[in-house]
Formats: sequence, C-alpha cells, structure tokens
Amino acid sequence: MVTTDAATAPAAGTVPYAGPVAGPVRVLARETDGAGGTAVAALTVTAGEPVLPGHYPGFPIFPGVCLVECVRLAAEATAPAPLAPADGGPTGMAEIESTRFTGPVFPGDEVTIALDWRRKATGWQCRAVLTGPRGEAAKVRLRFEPPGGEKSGADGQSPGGEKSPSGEEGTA
Amino acid sequence: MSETPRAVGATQAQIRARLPHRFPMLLVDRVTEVVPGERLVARKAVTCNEPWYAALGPEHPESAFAYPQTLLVESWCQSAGVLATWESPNPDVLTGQVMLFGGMSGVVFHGPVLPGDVVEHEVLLSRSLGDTLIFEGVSTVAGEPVLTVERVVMALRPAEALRPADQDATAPDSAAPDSAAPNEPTAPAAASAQTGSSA
Repeated sequence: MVTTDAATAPAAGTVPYAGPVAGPVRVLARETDGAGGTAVAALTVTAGEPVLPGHYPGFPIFPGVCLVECVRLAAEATAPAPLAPADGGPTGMAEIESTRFTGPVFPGDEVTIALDWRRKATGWQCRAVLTGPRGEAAKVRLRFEPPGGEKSGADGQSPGGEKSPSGEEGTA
Repeated sequence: MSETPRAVGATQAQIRARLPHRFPMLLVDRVTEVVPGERLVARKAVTCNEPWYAALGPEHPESAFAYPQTLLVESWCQSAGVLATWESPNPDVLTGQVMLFGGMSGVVFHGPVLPGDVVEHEVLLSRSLGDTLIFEGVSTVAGEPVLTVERVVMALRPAEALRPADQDATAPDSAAPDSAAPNEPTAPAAASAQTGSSA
C-alpha cells in the first residue's frame, strides 16, 4: 500500500503540541507496508522558533535536541503502526538509539528529513537523515514501542502490521 | 540529599557563568555535587509554567503533560556541559574553547516526568580522549530512573577553528550567523570531522 499525504505533524490529533519545536514539520511523502516504510518530511526553521532566544542570545542555533524532536514529530506522523501511548497523548520515544550531529542548523534553514521505518524485535525503529542547505545536519535513530509498552514487538503486535520479517538485527 | 551547593556544586548564578544557554533553554537549576573530571549531580525542577505547556488545558490527557523527552535529554547534556567545562568555564559561544554536542547513543526513557517533579541528573565522565569527552549517566525522579544515558559525546574545540567557510550559504533572513561554533552541549556540531565517533 502506498499513501502520500501532506499532513502536518504538530497539528495532527486533538492534543495541542507541547514541545520545543514550533514547526510545523510537514510530511511530504509516505509509503508503508506492514513491515516498515519510508517517508519524507520537512521543516523550515523560522526565526520565531521559541527556543532560539535562549539558544543562544544574539547567536541563534537550532539545538541538536530539537532536530531529534523534529524526527520524533515526523515519526509520529508517518508510523506504519500505532505507537505508544494509546490514550491520544503525544507518542513517546522508548529510546534514542543513536544520534550524530554533523552540521549546524540556523534560522531560515530548510531541513529535509528522510525516514526509514523497520520493525524490530524491540519495537519500531525509525532511522532518519536530516539535510540542510549546507549538507547533512544529523543522523538519528529512534526506537518506539507499540501501545501498551510491550517491548516484544514482533508478534502480538497491533494493527497495521502484517508479518514482520523478523530476525533482522541492527545494521550500521 | 541537599549538600552545601556553594561548597561542592554551583548556584544558578554560577551556572549562568558557565553555560551560554538562557530562557527558555537553560535547563539546569542547581548543581549539587561536583568532582571535577569525574562526576556531577545537578537538578532540574519541572514546572507547568514552562512555555511548552502553554496550550494545554484540563481536557487533555495526563500524558500530554509529560515533560518533552528531548528537553530532558538537553537538560542532562547541559549538566554534562557544566562538568566538561568545570575547570575552564566559557559562557561565550563565539570565542575561546567551545563544547560541541557530537552525538549520543543508548538514551533510554523509562517513564514520564511531570510538572512538579524534580529531576536529578547524574553525569559521569566515562572517557576523556584529548578534547573529546564521553559521558554516561542517569536521571531520576524521587529515586526512580526516568532516563539512562549510555553515551554522550562532546568535543571541546576552539571557536575560530569551528567556522566553516560557508558564509555564502547562510540564511537570508537571520543575522547571517556564519556557521560558527555552538557552545556547550546542545548545539549541533559545526563540522562532522570534529565530532567523536558515536557508534
């Protein structure tokens, strides 16, 4: 199944976004099947981002953790299956598996986020590469769990998933 | 639990003399213990008056009030930044030695942090490779872990050396920051070659 939409991550859902990124993080493309998928999202870092006055005064740099937050928002909007928690609140990350910050992001930058979803024994893994006007800005790998918080992803998994080609383990 | 902050930690004024971060991104309230070059314990009190909560009302689920996870990590990393620069603090992002956030791995969330909670961050310097520092640690609320950090990599670099010559590519609508060095933990590293290997 292939879906393409232009949802806006923070606006999706009924709970107002409570976090450090004003965004919006726009979903440009999404393609999923039961075992994973890919997606593309984008964010324009405006001068009005609320964190910038304090990071840093007189010298605004978009914080690295806000890049991770953008990946979380994009992930929440593009997940191939429901993610925890199930009560309508924001989706929580179970783990930031790894992150590498490789270039700064400044106000005015357009950041593209390429996401790659995979089902793992430990839940759903979302790998993202963030690219800005000067090249790669970060690589981020997040882990999410299905609603209920069971870490055993592979089976007994919630809807949206068919069979997982399990057994694949962390590639680089 | 509360030792004498002045003797072995850092007060808010002292933290501001060490970190360049300011409202709403200064996320360390007090340093309660420091063993320079080894470990540090710091506190962050979460309040419903933080700007992230402005849009929420009584109709929203409890989980919506969880402190943003990425800011919890930021707070821990700022604590690490205080330890990293304890001997030679530099609250300026543009000059001197600056601390870059190179990467992290194995950062696991164990439960929500809510307004009213006081988070205690424990930061250990696990390895020091010249000017690349590797930290690990945990954050707790009332003794229960809410965050464990397997590895955070920071790199101490001279500010001038960190300015890629790409002024031409800077943002048109801002004060044209010339890709200079972020200081202290949270900012993305300015050049990939300089960040530590982060698995």
